[in-house]
Amino acid sequence: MIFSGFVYVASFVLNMVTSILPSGTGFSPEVQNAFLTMGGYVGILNTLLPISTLAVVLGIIIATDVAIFGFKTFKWLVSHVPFVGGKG
Amino acid sequence: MSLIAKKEVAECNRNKVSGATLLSALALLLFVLSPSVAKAAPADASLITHSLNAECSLVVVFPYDLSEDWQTLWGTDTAVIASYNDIWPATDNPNGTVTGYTNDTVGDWVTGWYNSASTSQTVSGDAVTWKLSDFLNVGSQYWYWSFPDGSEYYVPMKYNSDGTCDTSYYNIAQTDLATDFGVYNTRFDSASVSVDYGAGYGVLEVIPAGLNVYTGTLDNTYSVYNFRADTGASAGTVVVTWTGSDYFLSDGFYVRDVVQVVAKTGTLDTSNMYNAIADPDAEFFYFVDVDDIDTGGGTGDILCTGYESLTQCGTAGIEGLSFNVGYYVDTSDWVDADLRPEVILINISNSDTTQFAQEQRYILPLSTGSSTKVISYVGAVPDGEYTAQINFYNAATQSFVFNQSYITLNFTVSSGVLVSSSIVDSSNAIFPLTTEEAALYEDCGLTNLSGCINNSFKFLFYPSTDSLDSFNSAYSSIQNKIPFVYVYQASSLMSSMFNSATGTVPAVTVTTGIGDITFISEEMLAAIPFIPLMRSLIAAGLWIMLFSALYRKTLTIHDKQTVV
Repeated sequence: MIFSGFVYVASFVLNMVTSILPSGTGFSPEVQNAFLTMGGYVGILNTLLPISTLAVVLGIIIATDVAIFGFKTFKWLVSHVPFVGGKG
Repeated sequence: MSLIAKKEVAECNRNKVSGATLLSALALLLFVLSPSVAKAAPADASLITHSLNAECSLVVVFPYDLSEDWQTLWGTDTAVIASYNDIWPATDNPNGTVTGYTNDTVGDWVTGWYNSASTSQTVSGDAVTWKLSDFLNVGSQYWYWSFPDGSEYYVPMKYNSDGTCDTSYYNIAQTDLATDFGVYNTRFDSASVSVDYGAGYGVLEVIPAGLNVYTGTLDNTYSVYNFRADTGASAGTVVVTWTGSDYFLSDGFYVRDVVQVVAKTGTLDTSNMYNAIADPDAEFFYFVDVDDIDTGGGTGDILCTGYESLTQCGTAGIEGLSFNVGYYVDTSDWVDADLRPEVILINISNSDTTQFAQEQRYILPLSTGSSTKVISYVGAVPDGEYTAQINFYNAATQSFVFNQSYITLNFTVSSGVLVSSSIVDSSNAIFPLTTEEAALYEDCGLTNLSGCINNSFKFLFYPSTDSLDSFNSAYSSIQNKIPFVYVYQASSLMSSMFNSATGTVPAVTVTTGIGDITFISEEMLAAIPFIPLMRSLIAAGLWIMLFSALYRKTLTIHDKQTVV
């Protein structure tokens, strides 16, 4: 009941956002083909270099930076809340 | 032409003569043998077996070779294959115009389906398939086919509500029949009220259960009217005969929709009496009320209908009661076939503690939707106040769908008429839980308090299937909305770019005066022994760099937090 309530609230918010936003088909076929072409070149490099490992490492670094940035943003927001962030 | 050449030509001609002679002998041999094949038609055509395939096409297997021409085999080409009685009109047939039959009227016969002329059936070896299913409506009930020797055969068929063939129905019907369909002497015709039944016609299992009340009290023969739910029109008449130990239908296949048995002194509505494998994917709720009281008017129709309130339907003595049981079926998330309800049990009692029960089995539809089934109690209902309880339960497990899945209503009969009725109690008329969720919960009672505690925690913290479905639906839909569609698509493309890269190393080739010289190619790279070692070392270096970078970032956070 309790968790279902949270899920229903999240679903409601998502549905509300969804109903407002316009629908789209995403990237044009040219862009998607560009990714596929890049995949071909990456495949060439993959013969010499461990591309999959490189992708994982870069992904972790980016995710870490995003998490730190989010944490700092949250702290900044809290610090600007009157009486809560110590600046009231 | 030289002499040698002439000799070669003569030799060749002699060879041709020899070949022609050989072919003639072979043709003569075939000619001699062919009558013996043609005469191989069996004296007893009942040796022919038949079945339905997944698309409800009739597959007939002959115990002899059909490779010979039908005309030669039978002396005629008028092997009639027909199907009764629901044919797509030619203009409405979703499969296009079909030729090869003479009638396309709903309720009429399709005849003249010649074996040799049809392009929709094939003759191969000892089996033949008549593919009439492309233009049979879902109301088609059986195949009929005959042979020039007078043999006639019926094969039951039943379409599911989605248009697919219910082959299980065929199998069950075959099992329930006393013999393998037998031979009809008289073709059933919708214009005739009754037809003598032939030996060997069985009945479906539940027919006796619905007709038991007649045992020994009414005439032996009843007319059965078959009504089509989609058109509301009668689809013909068959005969029910009580043999002293069992009931027999002249045709056991009139079970698709509402079937009413009209007897001298009462009406019994045996709805959906067929005994088939029901869809295990069903969730339902239902309602019920007293719908009709038959006063022996003899028309065979329900005399009046209504919910919550009843009207006077006649003036003679009450002979029975009909109940409308409405329900809604949702097949989307019913997962437990064992819990599928299939039986309606009515218990009727009055102030004199006289009780009588009526049990009827019906099959839940295969598609999501609502419907109403009529179940009846037939017999005398004296004046008084009555209570009727209607339950759904599962015959296989002998258990109710839900522990208290019932509706109770009171009604009053005065001076032989039904004067009032009202629903006084109901439980789980709406069946809200999927069986997946229901399976989560444990028994709860005085002897199992831990089950109650567990159930309470599950109730509080276990997300319902509906809530998760709702979230998943919203999550899926937002992936097609701008700007999120770009995020999801970019992520997908990046993932595919790194995970399924299929590029090949282009060969670097230089053309020289002494030929092409290839400096580098994929094969050459693969042949270099240190390439795998180099890749492993680079991968190890990347992981070390990653951990180093993460360590330094951690220090940075710590320092800045210290400053803050």
